[in-house]
Amino acid sequence: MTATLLAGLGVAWTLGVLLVAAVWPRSRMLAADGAVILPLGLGVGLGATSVLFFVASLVVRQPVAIAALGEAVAIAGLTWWLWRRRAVEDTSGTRRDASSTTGWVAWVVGSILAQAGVVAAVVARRAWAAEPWGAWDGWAIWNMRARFIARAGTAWTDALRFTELGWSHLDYPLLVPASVARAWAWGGGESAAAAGLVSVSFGAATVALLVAVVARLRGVLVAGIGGLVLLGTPFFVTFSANEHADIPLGFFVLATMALVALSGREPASRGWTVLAGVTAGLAAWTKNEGVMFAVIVLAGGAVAAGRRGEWRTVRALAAGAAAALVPVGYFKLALAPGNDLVSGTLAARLAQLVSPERHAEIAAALWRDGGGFGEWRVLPFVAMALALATPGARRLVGRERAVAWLLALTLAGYYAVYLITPWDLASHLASSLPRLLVQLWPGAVLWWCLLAGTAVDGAKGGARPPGGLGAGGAHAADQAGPEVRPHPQTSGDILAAPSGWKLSRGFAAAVCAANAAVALAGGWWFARQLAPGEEAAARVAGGAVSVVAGEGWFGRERHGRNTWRWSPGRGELKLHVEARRGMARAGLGFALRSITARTVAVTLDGREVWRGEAGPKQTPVVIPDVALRPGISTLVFASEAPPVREAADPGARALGFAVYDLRVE
Amino acid sequence: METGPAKWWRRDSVRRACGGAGLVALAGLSGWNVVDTVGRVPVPPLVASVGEPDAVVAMERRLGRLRFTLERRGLRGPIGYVGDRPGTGVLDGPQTVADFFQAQFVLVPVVLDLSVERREWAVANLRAASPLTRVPAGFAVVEDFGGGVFLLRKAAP
Repeated sequence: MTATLLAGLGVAWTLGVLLVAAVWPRSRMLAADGAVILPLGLGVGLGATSVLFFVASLVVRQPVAIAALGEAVAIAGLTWWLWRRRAVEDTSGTRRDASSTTGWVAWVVGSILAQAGVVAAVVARRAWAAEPWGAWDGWAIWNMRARFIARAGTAWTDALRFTELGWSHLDYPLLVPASVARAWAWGGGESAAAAGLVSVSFGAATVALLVAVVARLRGVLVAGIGGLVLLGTPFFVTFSANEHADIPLGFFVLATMALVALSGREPASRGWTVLAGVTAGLAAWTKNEGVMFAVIVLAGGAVAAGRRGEWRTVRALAAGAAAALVPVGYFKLALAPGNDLVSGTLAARLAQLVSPERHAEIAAALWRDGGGFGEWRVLPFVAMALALATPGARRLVGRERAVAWLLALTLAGYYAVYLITPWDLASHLASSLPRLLVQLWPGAVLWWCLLAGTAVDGAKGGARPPGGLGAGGAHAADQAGPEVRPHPQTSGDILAAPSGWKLSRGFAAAVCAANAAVALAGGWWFARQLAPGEEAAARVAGGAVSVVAGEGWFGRERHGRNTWRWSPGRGELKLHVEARRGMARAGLGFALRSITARTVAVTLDGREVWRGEAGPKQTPVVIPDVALRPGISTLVFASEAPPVREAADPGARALGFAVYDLRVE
Repeated sequence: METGPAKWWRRDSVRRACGGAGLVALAGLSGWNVVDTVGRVPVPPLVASVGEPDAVVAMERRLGRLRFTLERRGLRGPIGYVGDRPGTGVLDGPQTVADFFQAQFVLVPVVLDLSVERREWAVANLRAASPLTRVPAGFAVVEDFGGGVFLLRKAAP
């Protein structure tokens, strides 16, 4: 991963943060809302830079320079705009209902969430390493489209006309491919790491945005648990590194829902509504399901706001969406072929809407995948439902109700598409339903968080219930804006600090120490895990060594923390060596054992490096400072003495010696 | 007037306890799910040469020289593709279909066409079949990249 690649991501992020900040409600303090703006900015920035790169790729062969120029101009302009706005505004009256808190709940929940985040990052890194170009759709659709943009110059659009490529869904929108192609251009080569970085960025931004928004709306306890639910969804974590467009789409779905929910806090300001339109439009620029989502957002917003006569809100939503939908419209109308789901004779397929068999099949798949799409070991749904029993829970206020509507309508839209799909329904459901559900999962967790807690500051349009989780007590009073300050005596936050309770330095130090201990233990645990087939592995002076079993061994055995292999008399170990320059140097440690005493010789590429006696008791052996050339070296363990049967049974193994607990030092 | 379980359930303390228990349970099982995920993803080997590479990465290596040859010759757009099975039969076997799609991913911006006879140029990506049996009539091998990978061109009539 190169510095320029990271710089490219940094530029996209900076541009996104500035874009979001530019339309953020003026009554808010940007710094206080940074936890929401930063992850939102990452997604919006990747979306905006993908549009610039896409446009540049249509007109010049090497689009990175002109796109970067556009990005620089945009960053400069937005910076000037924000600086000027800050200079003329009186910030004394701005709202600062920051979600940050010094309560012990924040420390404990934050610690657990951070540790879970580190584990999820390790898992995502390993998932990426297993499939560097992603799973099937990752390389066959998204990364392949990125390669056309990166390799074919302005002629890349020709590929959209070749029917031979019809299998790769040429009408799919281009946020992810253009982002990956841009990352390659910045990084100076088509690295799989760049594609993985774009993919993982959306996963990380999704978790961060969910936690930040819920912390703002419901307090840190529910926010932290919501983040844990998302990180505790194995499919979400592993899929984040899989270079599909579903996690990015899930980010924009979540962002839109979050911004709609937030917009109820500042009805007079249109900033959040404009941004909701932008993120809905970027959802359409990400995937075809996003087009449907954008239509639902726009239509639903128009109906809901129109009924209340809030036409300025409708215009703000439409304006934001229009800005992001321009490239979608151009791509769909001028470049892309028709979509396979809506092409052809639609009239015949409309008859499928009333087919009871199709309804039953879709319902059965929803039941099956609804519980299994997350690939959980332990399903979270019962605990999620139990948490809603708290007094004061299950109350959405103001525009928060739109979150449920958007989820329901989008799910209904997916259902309708399955009804009319021209493909074989069973295979269509099997290949896509879990991915569709994971698109909506972050939004669904947001909805649950909003139900599980109570509002922490002045939401318009709803009464504040007296209790609830994560919102009350002195902790919530810290967070509350000027409009609502729940009385500590009436609040029901079961884990909030008592009124007047101050976080001691000792407690903070203890939390930090506990975090450090967990991090060390986790790091040690991760470091000693071996890849499939590896007997031992370590970074050594001048490189790295990985040992795998060659010929002449029985299967690996384990008891407790001890592992060993028996050999009938001659066994080979292959030492795979990576050296930074010249030779790598490593020590080898193991223990030898045999049923009867015997001499064992160890040779490395034909050169004897150890000879000694092995007997019924384990003989510890250390071969220090072995010079290893890059490539594969062969370590041979050999004994001249005949093997001994381990039992009287004629089928029993004939054993020469065993090598225990091999390690590279 | 409510009695029994309904009245019991209406007590705030009971519901608060249930809600708290739900949150604690949710945090615990989510943490368990996070840790459990670690065991599902294989640990990558410390040295890249250990273990089988990802199929797409392996195809990148297999067709790497062919790709640069196509680029050097300025070939773009559709060219023919010859696999272990004839014509669209490539799409009938899991290995041949994966080979075809992966080859397309590797060889972008060239577009692979299973109707070889329509094209002047073709690539052969053979794992089992002999080129003697699979090179289409009228085509000749222009370059052999080893391992069953060939660049073919329609011979002049």
